[in-house]
Amino acid sequence: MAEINFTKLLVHLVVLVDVVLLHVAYATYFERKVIGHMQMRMGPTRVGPMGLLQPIADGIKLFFKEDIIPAAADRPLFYAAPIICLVAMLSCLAVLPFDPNHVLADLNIGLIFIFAMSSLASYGVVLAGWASNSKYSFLGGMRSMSQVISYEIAMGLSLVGVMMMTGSLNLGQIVAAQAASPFGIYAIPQFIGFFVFVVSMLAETNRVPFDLPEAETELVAGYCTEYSGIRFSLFFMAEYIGMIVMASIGTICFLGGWNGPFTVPYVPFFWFLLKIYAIMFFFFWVRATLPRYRYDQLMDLGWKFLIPLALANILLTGLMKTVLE
Amino acid sequence: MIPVSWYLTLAAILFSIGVYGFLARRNVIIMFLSIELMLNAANLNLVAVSHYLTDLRGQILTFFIIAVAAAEAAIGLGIVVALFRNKATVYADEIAQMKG
Amino acid sequence: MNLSISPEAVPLIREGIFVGLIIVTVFGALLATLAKRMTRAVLGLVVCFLGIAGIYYFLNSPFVALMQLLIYVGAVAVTICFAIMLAEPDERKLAAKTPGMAGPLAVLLGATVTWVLAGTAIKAEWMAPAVKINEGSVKDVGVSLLTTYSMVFELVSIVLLIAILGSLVIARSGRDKAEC
Repeated sequence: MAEINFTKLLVHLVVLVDVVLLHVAYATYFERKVIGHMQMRMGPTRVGPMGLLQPIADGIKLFFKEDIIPAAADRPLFYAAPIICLVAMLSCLAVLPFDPNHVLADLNIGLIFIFAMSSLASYGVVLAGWASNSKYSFLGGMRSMSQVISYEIAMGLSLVGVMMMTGSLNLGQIVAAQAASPFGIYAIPQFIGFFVFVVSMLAETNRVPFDLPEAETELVAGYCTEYSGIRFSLFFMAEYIGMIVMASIGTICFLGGWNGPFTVPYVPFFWFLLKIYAIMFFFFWVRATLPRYRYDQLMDLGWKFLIPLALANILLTGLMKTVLE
Repeated sequence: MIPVSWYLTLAAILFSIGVYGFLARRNVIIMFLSIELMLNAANLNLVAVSHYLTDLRGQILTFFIIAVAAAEAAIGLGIVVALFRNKATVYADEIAQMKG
Repeated sequence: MNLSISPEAVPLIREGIFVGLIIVTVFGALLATLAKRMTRAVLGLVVCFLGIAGIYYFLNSPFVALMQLLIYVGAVAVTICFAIMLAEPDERKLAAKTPGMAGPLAVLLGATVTWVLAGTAIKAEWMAPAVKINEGSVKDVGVSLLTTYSMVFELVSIVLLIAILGSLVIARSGRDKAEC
């Protein structure tokens, strides 16, 4: 058994988590700026130059806010729910390859691990909805659960095409196989899969137009209605880390991972980051553009359109693979 | 190397907890949870033995058990929900219509 | 500062993690069967499943471990949650609901089962574990699922299909009655 170097592991871990949390903080800033400019506003401008310190001010505000726990809440579950969400989402980060040499855990079945963790995160949301003991939270939790379960099937099936083309579940190998494929990215040969993935990615992360679990106009804030201060910020971080993880999966499986048109010296993860930012921008763009779906439309879209489409994609990929070989 | 008997003992303990839950609790959903525990104990045995015999058969069988357990969950919980709609109870001993 | 761990300490750490997983599993199982509130029972079940998934990982079967997480935690436990939320049973009655003799008898039976099974497991002469550790790789599992066990595989998919249809019929029939 090889010697385990703890120091290296710890440094890697700390840097990874810090970088991602920084990204989470500035994703909120980016979101507000992007949506602001799309709606002919300025977005945050007051704190720091061009409002650049806004996320830090928000963070400080959230950390020092009073932590209110409803009297009728089921306390242990109420405490556990945001932690479950955040831990599940953070552990997804371990298997993501940012460049050929930077992956914390080079798991052979990394893709399935991410699915497993995101289903665990949905469990945290359900618990939050139940433990808060409030109507809005309850409805939000129910909606989120059914939505995440439904769209997880579509998302899993949309990635089966990629798995078939690569023959591997290791994220690093998926990127390597993609670089060797004729187009360089799977988004072109797997365009049906990519479409299904993008739609279910929006639904999995509870983003507009599928933000029914936390629809402000009808459910206050859905499952996190009763949460405040630091506990709310844990949910918030989990949601944004979820977005980053989904963007990374999209980048790795469909957009060629860390490979780009040319190699950038000294910054091996340049293209990876650029692609993630592009997908994040897409998230915000959709949010500023599209209205919310109705609940039955959401379920119809998932079960009657996306899942059959993803199944057809699997069949097509299989056919193409046999024909081409 | 952890001896195989540890795994089997753990599986036995889990199975007994399942047996206890199934017999002592009258709530249909908790009884259902206990069945899941017992199935998991069986799975644990299979995977442990599969590991120690370096044979994949145990793992394959575990997959089938997991699939059947998922089917069972869907049906079982469908029944629970239908039962609650009709009788407004989830306690096994309150469903005594057939009692003479 | 260099916190590297010597190779001798690795088995010790492995055993420590293993014992931790056993404790988590048994704690989860106890919570699942003894909890007063049903959501806590489901949480216990999830904890138990997580522990078991960890133990599968120890047994060199990472694929089974992740399937355990995906299907048991992600599907079965969440479905149970759904059932609880849809049924919303009266939780106050839960505590009082243990008919007289059932509790002690069940404890007795459980203890006997443990005694017999664990006794057999400990006393039996197990053959020495094989030197070659099976890789439990996804590829091997997939190949044998689609060759040796393809018939069973097809049958299981039919079982799943029938289960989906059956649960839809059961759940919908109740709703129709309520509507008319």
